[in-house]
Parts: sequence; C-alpha cells; structure tokens
Amino acid sequence: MRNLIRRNTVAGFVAAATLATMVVGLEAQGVKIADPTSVVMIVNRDSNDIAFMDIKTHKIVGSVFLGNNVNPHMVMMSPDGRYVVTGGTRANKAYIIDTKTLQLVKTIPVDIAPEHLAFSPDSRWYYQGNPDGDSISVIDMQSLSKIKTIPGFVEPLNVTFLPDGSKAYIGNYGAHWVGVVDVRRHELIKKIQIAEVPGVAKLDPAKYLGEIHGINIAMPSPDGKYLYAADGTLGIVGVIDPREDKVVKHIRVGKDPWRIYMGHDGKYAITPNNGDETISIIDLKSNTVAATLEAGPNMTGVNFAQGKAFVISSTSGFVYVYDMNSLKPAGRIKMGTNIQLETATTDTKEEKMYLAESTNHEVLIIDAKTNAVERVGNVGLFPWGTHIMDSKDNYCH
Amino acid sequence: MEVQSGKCKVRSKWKVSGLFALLCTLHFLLFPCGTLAQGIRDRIRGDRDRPTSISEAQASELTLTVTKVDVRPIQVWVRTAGTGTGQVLRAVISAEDAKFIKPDQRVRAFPPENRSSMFQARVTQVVPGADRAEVVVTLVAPGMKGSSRYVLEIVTERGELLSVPNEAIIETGDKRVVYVQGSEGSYAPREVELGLQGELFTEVVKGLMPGEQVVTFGSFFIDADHKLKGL
Repeated sequence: MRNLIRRNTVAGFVAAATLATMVVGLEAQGVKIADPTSVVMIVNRDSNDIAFMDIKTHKIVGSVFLGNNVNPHMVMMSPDGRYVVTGGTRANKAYIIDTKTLQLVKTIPVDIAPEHLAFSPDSRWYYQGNPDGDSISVIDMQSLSKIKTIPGFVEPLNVTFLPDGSKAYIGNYGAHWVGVVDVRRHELIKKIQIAEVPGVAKLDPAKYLGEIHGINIAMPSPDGKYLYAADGTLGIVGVIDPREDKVVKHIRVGKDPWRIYMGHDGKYAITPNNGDETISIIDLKSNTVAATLEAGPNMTGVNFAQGKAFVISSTSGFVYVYDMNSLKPAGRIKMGTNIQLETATTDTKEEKMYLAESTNHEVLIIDAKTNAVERVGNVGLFPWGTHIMDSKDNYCH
Repeated sequence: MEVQSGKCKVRSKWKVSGLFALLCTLHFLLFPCGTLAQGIRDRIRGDRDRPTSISEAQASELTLTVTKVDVRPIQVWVRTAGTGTGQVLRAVISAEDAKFIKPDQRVRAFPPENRSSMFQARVTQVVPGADRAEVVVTLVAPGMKGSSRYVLEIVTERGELLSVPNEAIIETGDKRVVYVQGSEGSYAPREVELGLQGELFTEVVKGLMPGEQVVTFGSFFIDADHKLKGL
C-alpha cells in the first residue's frame, strides 16, 4: 500500500514536472493560444483591438491592438486555425493576426470601408467585402498579399463560399442581385436577380429607388443544396439553385427582412423582419413560411441552441426566444435597460451564446438551457461582434 | 521522255529512301530506342532552365502571385470514414497516419451527403494495431439527426518545415518543377525534390533556398508560356 502511494506520488511529480515543462516550453516559443477552438474572439470597434476570451474561464487571455482609428468591423478565424483576420473600416485595411502568438503579422490596404469577410473552405483565400468601394478584395493566405480587387458590386455586404470552394456568392445590399464569383479566376461571372422590382417603383420611386435595402447575404442551406437570399425592399426570399445559379422559388416573408439565418438541424430558417417587427420561420423542405411570429425592433441577429432560436433586438435590450419544435414564442430575456445589443456567436457544444453589448463594453453569456445570463465586463471599447472557430452562428451586422 | 524522266525520278527517290532507311537502321543499332524523338523534343524546347519573361500587363491579367520559400508549420488532414451511434464515432486509419494522431486532436466531421454542415469533434482514443489503428472520435455537440456515418478530417500538425505552396508545384513526368522569380518579370523553372505534402504547403527537401520567391497562382500559365516560346 505504502509502495503504491509512493509510486503514485512519484508519478504525480513526474506528470506535474512534464506539464510545467510543456507550459514553459510553449511560453518560451511565444505561444499564447495553443488551441484555436478554446477562445471567443471579440472585435472592439472603438479600442481598435481584437480581444481573446477563454471559453472555459471567461477571462481575457490576450488582445491585439491594430492601430489608431482602425474601427475593426468583423473578425474571423481561418478554417485551419492559423490566422485571425479583420477588416478595419476606417483604415481601409485588412489585418492578419497569427493565432498562436497573437502577433499582427500583416496589414494589407484594401478598398473603401471594409466590413464583412469570409474564408474559402480550404483557408486558401480571404475575401474582404468593401461596401463603400463596391468591391471585393482577394487576399492570398499563402503569400499574405492582396492579389486582386473584384469590382462591379453594389454595397457588397456578405460573402459565402460553396462547400467545394469553387464559387463564392456576394450579397449586394444596394441592389437586388447576388453576385457569383468564380474562385479559380476571382471574377464576377454572373448576377442573379432575386426578383424584378415591381412596376409600382415607377409610381413611387422615392420608396423603391431611394435607399435600397437589398440583399445582405446568400446563405447556403445546411445540406448545401440551395442558397437563400432575403431582399429587404421586396420582402421576399429567393431560393437559388447553385448548379445553374438560377432562382427556383420566391418565398414572401414579412416587411424588410434583414437577412436569413439557418437553423442547425436543416429544418428551418428565420428572417427577422424589421419592417413589421416579426420573424418568419421558413420550412426548408417545402420552402414555405411555416410561422410568422411577433418579435422586437431593430433585430441584428439570430442564434440557435438547445432546440431554441434566440433573436437579438438590438435597441430594446431584449433577446426573444422561440421554441423550434412547436414554432411558438418561448419568452424573452431582459439583458438590461438603455443598452445596445450587437451580435452573438454560439459555442460548438451549442450550450452558450456570447453576445456583444456595446454601451457597457461587455459580453453577455447566455446559457441556452436555462436562459441565465453572465456578464463579462471590460472586454474592450464598443464590442461589436464575437466569433468562435467552427461555430455555426458566426455572423456580423 | 516524260516516262524516262519519271523512271529517273522514281529511281532517284528509291535511292534516297534506301539511304534514309540505312541511316535509320544504323541509328537504331547504335542508340537506344526513343533517343531520336527525345532529341527532337530537346531541340524544340531548347534550354529548359532559361527564364521566361512576363510583362507587367500579362502578370496583372494572370493575377500572377509569388510566395516566399519559407519554414512554416505544415498541417496534414487525415481523411477517413467514421461510423457510430450518438456522439461517439469509430474509424480505421493506417498505422503510418496513426503515429501522428493523439487524443484531444481537433477533428472536422461532415455527414457524407452534406459538406456544408460541419461538426467539431475531438480524438478521444487511438487503439494501435499491426498495420492499422482504430481511432475513437467524439462529436462536441449532437450530430446530424439520423446520421450515423461521417467523413472525418483529423487535423495533424507535422512541424515546421521549409516549404512551398502546393499550387507552385508542376508535375512533368516524374519531375517536380517550380518557377522561381529572378529579376523583375523573369521566371525560371527549377527541379525540386519534395517531402511531406500538407493541405496547403509541401516540404522542399532539395532545390530551393529560404527567401526565394516561387510562382503560385499563375504557374500553369508561366509554364505554358515557357513551353510555347520554346525556351
């Protein structure tokens, strides 16, 4: 028995010494994040940095300052976990951070007001959308350089790639079409008109030809067979078949849908309709509206977890909850008063959501099972969005 | 007259043909088969090591991109099929791949019919065998309803090695060639010896020095141009 205790103690010491050596070794190499899946990235607009929060401890483990007057907009990690990138809206530059060392390794000038971005599935290309420059900057992640600027878009807001990486789809918020880019040549090869602008536009041009709320994103369905693009002004969702790049169906939803969000199980999608403060739940099998439910004002995002949908109403301070089995409202969570909610990401276990709240410079962690909220303050100034590697709810506004 | 002349022509043609056949027979006796064809190819192509020049306008049109030969971490994604119930999946891999797979390694799992829905997973156990090993993988969250089969991509880090992007490498027969940037707008082919092939980068064992710039995006066009110009 005594021998066993002694042996265990020795084994314990050896294990502790090995662990300590490993930790010291990693630190000596400048490794700050050993596992890219272990952190939540927070993009802080006004402190011009990207903060990294440990998922387990909820402590900020590091941050990368990008420069003065950068205003980073959206943050994303490459699918191989090697780099973290963001577009600086005021600086007109793209920033590339090494995930392991948290070193800013490259700053690349892009077009005007870069906002949303996406990686090709093989981590090879980083497409940076420039809404004010009406272009997409193509950044080669092997040479870490901009190799091309694809022109011809109208306020390109979001980029999505097909799973095989052959084509990218660009939502144009200033128009009613989705741009198709051939990723081999990085060229705009087709414009898919979601729907014709109604004849009434000619009678009421101020409404229809003034400030267009066009297409925010063309979102692939979880089975990858179709893309769904909501058009705000027209109040419809166009279903695109990527084999022919044609609209195969129109689904009428509520007024001024912001964009479409896909449920993780592939059954339903949701459009938050800011024009009439409702949400439309779309059945992805029949491509019809299964339910239209009341929601809040100024919705900026939808997250899915534990069989529920959580809809962020940015100015009301509430997150609206819906049961995705019964398709009925399941209450709302009060996040605070006089606060501005931004966007959230869901962890890969689909247990918790990390919601950026910019008024008090905090991240609100929502337990999807219990709806309990934990606050993590001082994450940086004006947290604008969050991101977790491989999360199914990585988006921005 | 015409006939005579014709006869004459025929005779002289036969004479030439006979001489050519004799020369060919001698050539084939003296040199191994195929050398004649190789000689013609060599003459057409000339010196393969001479650089080809690309103008700035052409480079822009081709979106020509160069990348530094550098020491970088190389990732290899071991791909296999996993089956199981609930969140636990089992897969078989080769003993060679198993050397690099350890518990807690990151895994990307996809239902086979659905590449756009990725599930994060971790290696929980590696059971070694004689020539193959069994890997147990656990999905971080419940997977696709009704799906018991997944395509697994196990992400392995193989260390930091001198490497070039996979795209830079052109296979010509049993040779591997990259185009190295010389002076501005000038690119010369260079034969290289390669080692480990990763997802994005391949190890260079011989033929390149750190800091040299190789053509990645557009290497195919440069190679075609090089061949067309007969350099």
